[in-house]
Amino acid sequence: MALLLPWMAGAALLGAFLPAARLTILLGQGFMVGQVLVVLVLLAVHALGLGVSFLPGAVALTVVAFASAVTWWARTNRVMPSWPGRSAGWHLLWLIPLTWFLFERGTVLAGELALRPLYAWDAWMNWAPKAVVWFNHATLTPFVSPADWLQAAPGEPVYTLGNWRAAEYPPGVPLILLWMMLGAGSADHTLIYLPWFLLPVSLALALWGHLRNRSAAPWLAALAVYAWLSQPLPGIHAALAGYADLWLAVAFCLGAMALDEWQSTGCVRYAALALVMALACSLFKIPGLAMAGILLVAAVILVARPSIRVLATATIIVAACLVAGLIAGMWPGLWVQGDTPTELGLPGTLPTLRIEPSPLLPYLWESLFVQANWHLLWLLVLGSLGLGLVDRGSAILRSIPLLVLFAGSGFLLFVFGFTHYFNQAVNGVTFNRAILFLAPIAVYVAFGQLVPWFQRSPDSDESGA
Amino acid sequence: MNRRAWLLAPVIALVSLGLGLIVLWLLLPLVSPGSGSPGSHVDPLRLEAGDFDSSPVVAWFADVGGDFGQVDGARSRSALHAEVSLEAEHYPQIALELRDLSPNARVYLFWRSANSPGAASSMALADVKEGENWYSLAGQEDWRGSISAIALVAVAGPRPPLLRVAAVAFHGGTRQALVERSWSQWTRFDPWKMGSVNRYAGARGDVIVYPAVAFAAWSAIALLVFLGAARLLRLPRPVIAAVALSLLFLPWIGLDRIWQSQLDAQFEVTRDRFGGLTQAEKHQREMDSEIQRYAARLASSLPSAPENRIFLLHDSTGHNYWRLRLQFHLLPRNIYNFGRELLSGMRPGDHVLVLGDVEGVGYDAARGLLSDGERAWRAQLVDRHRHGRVYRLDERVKPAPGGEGG
Repeated sequence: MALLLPWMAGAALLGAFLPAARLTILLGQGFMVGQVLVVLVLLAVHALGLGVSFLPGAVALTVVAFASAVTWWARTNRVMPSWPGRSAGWHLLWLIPLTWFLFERGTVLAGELALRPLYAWDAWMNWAPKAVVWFNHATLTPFVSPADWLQAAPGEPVYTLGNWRAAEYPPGVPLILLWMMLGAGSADHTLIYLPWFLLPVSLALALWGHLRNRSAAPWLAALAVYAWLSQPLPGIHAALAGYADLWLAVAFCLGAMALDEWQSTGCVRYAALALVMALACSLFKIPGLAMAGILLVAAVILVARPSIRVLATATIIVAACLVAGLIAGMWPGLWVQGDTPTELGLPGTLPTLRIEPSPLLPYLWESLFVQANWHLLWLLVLGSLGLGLVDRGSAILRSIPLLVLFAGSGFLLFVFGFTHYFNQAVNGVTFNRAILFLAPIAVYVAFGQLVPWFQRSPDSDESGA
Repeated sequence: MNRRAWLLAPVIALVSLGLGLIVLWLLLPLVSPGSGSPGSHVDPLRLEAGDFDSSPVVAWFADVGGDFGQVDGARSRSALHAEVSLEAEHYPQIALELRDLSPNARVYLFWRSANSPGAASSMALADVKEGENWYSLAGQEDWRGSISAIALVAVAGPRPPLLRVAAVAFHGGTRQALVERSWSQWTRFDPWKMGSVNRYAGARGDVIVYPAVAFAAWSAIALLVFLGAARLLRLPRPVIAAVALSLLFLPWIGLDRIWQSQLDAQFEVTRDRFGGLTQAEKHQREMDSEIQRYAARLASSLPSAPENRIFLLHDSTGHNYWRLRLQFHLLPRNIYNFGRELLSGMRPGDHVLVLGDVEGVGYDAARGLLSDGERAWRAQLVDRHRHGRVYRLDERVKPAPGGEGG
């Protein structure tokens, strides 16, 4: 119930909000919407002084689900969209292999998650401890920095973690875990990590639906699903559950796809959905604040509708600066003057960045093209962008997901190539996990560029999925 | 035209992929040092387990510098050595099939040259595992001339570790050997570690080409071949895009099948370890089961109410696995888990958990004083165990010199 109730509530809420949307979009986006609801409900219940327990949250989500379903029905006179009509038999050519792949991969990853106790380092160091404490106390006991913990007044119940900054991490993932613990009645069970397994599945559903909305043929959408679900590093994050990176990656992509729907259909409700995903990004990880900002700026761009010339000029300038900076970073001694690096202070609890041009290019090359984290994803992206440029020239910059991918890439390249976070690229601990933020949206952008090459009439397929 | 183009598409794709494989085959020697040297196109030279004898390892160490001087108990260790007769330039690679290798063992390959029979050279075998391990020898400065003997030595801590050699094969620089080596390294099973969420390299060991690079090169070459053909044949756009996609995704599927084989092997290991067990039984099988038992024991000694503060001291810096795991297993106890000294912010009623021996922190049982040389507390010893000691702080006092260990 803890697993399915938020999903049902999220999907039903989206169905009421976007009654004409495909089922796969409602399910795909609805999973994340449901998890955001869980986070907000738990925070609200705590703010009302009710402590945290399963029942209030379950009641709230059930009410949302029921009310949404009723509204959805009232608007469309049906709750479920029509099932797919008869399709040509040749679709079995891709359907059978895809189904086999989903079964084979899903079985192994689900089995790994179900059998192995919490294992990955940051999961038990940074994310799960908060949920364990909250579960045991039945309230959201505050977590503070180690320095503040030492200064806390006697008897004041504040906690800290074994990682210096982890207490300041956003509460989204621990709250999702707490919800599962409350539903299971235990803080120690492998199945409370099932949301990690369903996360890439939900994105696959959304990917299918949004690409189908862009007139992608079913086989092409199926290939995109395979391209996403087959990548090793996201699969590892689904099986070795407990990290927040996959959550941020999926939320960022869902937000970009929602913006794409807004741009394509003019339906402003998709803008609201994108804002929800921006909120989700900010709830999961500190870099999520930047990803949320990118989604918001992208929304502003959609409203402002700058000309292609302006977009192209801005993109070329930013790209040129990044490329020049990355090349210059190969000889950092030429650029850093004196012993005191420039510092860029950020507001609040955000870290201060030491600006240090660094030789990131070899590590970037290794991550994208040498290691097997992403299979051949980045070759696909480059190839599809090449095809897109051949096909439409600078008009491809009208694609808001492409601009979002570009901005996300620029953000990561800046952080790892121009600040002291370069050390994280060297030690290999964080860099690939940061690139994971871009993996799902890269799949969507790549296949979005390929669709026009296979353009079919939208009436040629009766599928409602 | 369209129908004919679609019928031609699979043929074109297969031909492009085939040509891509041929080009890769021809380019293969470029990726491996020594593979192009004269005479390196020879059949493998194999040694079986029965070809190896034991000999005192000190007989090999004496000639070699490096860290061998610090190896405790060198005189009690044995090397597995074999007599050989081979020309080094003909065999730029070696494949070792090892069995019963102790975890964390370091393995070294020694050899003697016929030109210098009294001296031995060595090479550390990085990332060695049970099963097949490949290494390049061509880059070793001393791997030249006529080799008359080789030896393998495993080093791990003070006790001689296990090492059993199933087979050793010296390989030439042939394309077959390079393909065999690459495939072995790509498909070698590597169990997941805690850091596996950070990267998946696709191959381990002395890798000459990573699978993602090989399959990407295959795809790229096939695409180039195809794009040339597409221009000549004037294929329609959808056919070009479909074939290009297949030239990318067929290699992608190949990579994915290797990954699936890794996942299948990993799942087998996990199922063997945790299958059919309760959650409590699973915890007994974890690497830190001993720490978990210690944490369970401490449950009665350490209060769990959030107002009760616990300071965990350990002689480490940074993210130490043992102290962090103990903190996790003691949740929801309120623990400050940094440093190795008594802090000024400690208060009466706080508990101090000293994990292991922490230099400078001692307990004078006679006087009931816990001290680190800078600060001292009158404290009660609440729990004593081989893994650590727990104290309850009563009253801060002036530090007493020379506090004894607890």
